[in-house]
Amino acid sequence: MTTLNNSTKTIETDILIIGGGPSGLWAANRAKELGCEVLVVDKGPLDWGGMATLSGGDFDAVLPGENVDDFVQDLVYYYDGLCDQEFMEMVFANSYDRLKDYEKLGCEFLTGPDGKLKGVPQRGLDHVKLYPARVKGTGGSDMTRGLVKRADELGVKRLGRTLVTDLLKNNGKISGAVGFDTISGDFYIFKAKATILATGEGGWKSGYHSHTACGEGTHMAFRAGAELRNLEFVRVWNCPTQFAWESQTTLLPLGARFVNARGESFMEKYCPTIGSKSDQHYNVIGMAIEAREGRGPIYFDVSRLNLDDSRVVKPQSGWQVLNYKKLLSLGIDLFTQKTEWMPQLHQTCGGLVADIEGRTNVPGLFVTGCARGLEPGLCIGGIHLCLTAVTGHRVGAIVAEYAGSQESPSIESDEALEYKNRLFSYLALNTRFRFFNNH
Amino acid sequence: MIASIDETKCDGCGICIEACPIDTLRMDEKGEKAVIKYPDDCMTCYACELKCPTGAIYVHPFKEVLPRAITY
Repeated sequence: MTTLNNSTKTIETDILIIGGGPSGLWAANRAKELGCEVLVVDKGPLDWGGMATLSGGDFDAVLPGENVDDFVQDLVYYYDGLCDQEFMEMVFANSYDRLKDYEKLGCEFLTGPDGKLKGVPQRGLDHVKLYPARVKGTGGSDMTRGLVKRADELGVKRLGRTLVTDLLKNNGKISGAVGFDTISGDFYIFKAKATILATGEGGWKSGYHSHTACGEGTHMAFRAGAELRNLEFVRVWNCPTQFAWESQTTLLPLGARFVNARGESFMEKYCPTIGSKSDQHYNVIGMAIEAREGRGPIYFDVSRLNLDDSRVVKPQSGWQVLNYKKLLSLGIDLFTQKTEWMPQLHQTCGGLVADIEGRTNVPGLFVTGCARGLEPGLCIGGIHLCLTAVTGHRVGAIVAEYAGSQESPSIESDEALEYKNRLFSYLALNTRFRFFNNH
Repeated sequence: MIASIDETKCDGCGICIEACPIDTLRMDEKGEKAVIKYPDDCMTCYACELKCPTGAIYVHPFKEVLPRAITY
């Protein structure tokens, strides 16, 4: 039926992790440390580390001496009561340990003159703060590099450019998955005692108006019987109309604001307590009202930015500094001019239902990071790097224990073959669209 | 969005193709030079330009020309 000369490969492992971003890598490293064989499969380049690579590397944490309950109370208020308190308590309670782990992996966070971590308060909340990377620009890629290096030291097996398409099920339990190499077309059957879905979309990349996260993880889990939630909620984001910029969650608390075409800072009208420091969903509502009433377009105004350390906000390294220099060469300077900004659909809040330790309703299927259906509105700067680390580490341990109690699974070969035929049936169509012809 | 790959500078090493998180770049039919195969996929992450050893790639900081939903 197919015209493709592809082969089928079978790989057996204790734990299969779908998604090689931060939560997948944290889970992989933890499970491997506890003695399991682990395979991470990602559709992107082998070492890229998912969306964390492009992020600023900001991390939310409850420092020693601070109170987890205070942070949870902030979020109960922030989410208008929709906060999953038990889950966020677990995330915050483990946040500082993971921050220290990131330091051990070679990441550096900003410190003040006293040598202590220097935080930026978030969304006008009393307690929640993010801790920025020491040098703005490569915080996210430093995290990825550290996690990948650690995975290789531990002997975690990893496969890149391979798209997992379907979960396999045997006797009501997930027994692995199938997928294909997106370059060679080779078909893969993965057999595993336990499978972790780490296909969520952290908060960053859609800020570039493009996305690799297209929901196939959620969809395959749904087809396998997983319960989903929060798909009716979407997250919005504000960004420059023409170019990418990371990140406003540091700039807004330090005095940046949105203004309309008349130069009026309008968010004080809609959110008198904290103005532009409000949640981005409120900012979007404000932007929309202003534009509809003829006071658009909307600009990002940094004239009141109060900086005692410009390294916190001005890109110093990586893609961010290249981007900044190129914009300067085009006569655009975010720090001296008003730049036109707009709202943008960011990502879904939907995902799998799971207990706080990542167990779904389908035996053998676990979920970590943002593949889990999170709270509507969860978008404080630094929260995704925090919860991907915490949940990955936690779920990795839970799944290692589970896998230790399981027999090696058997795969219904008919099921895998059916998926393969369905997957490659498109190649038999009479079309001029050619796959894989350049390799 | 990725704007150009300078053919005279590209030595066909393939590092940019490996680096692209999506599917924007491929080798040409002869397998000698990198080409922009699917420009619409580009997310302006600069990974290719940062890793290109010969400086052959230029990524423009503008993402694309965006449609305006609202007429002011």
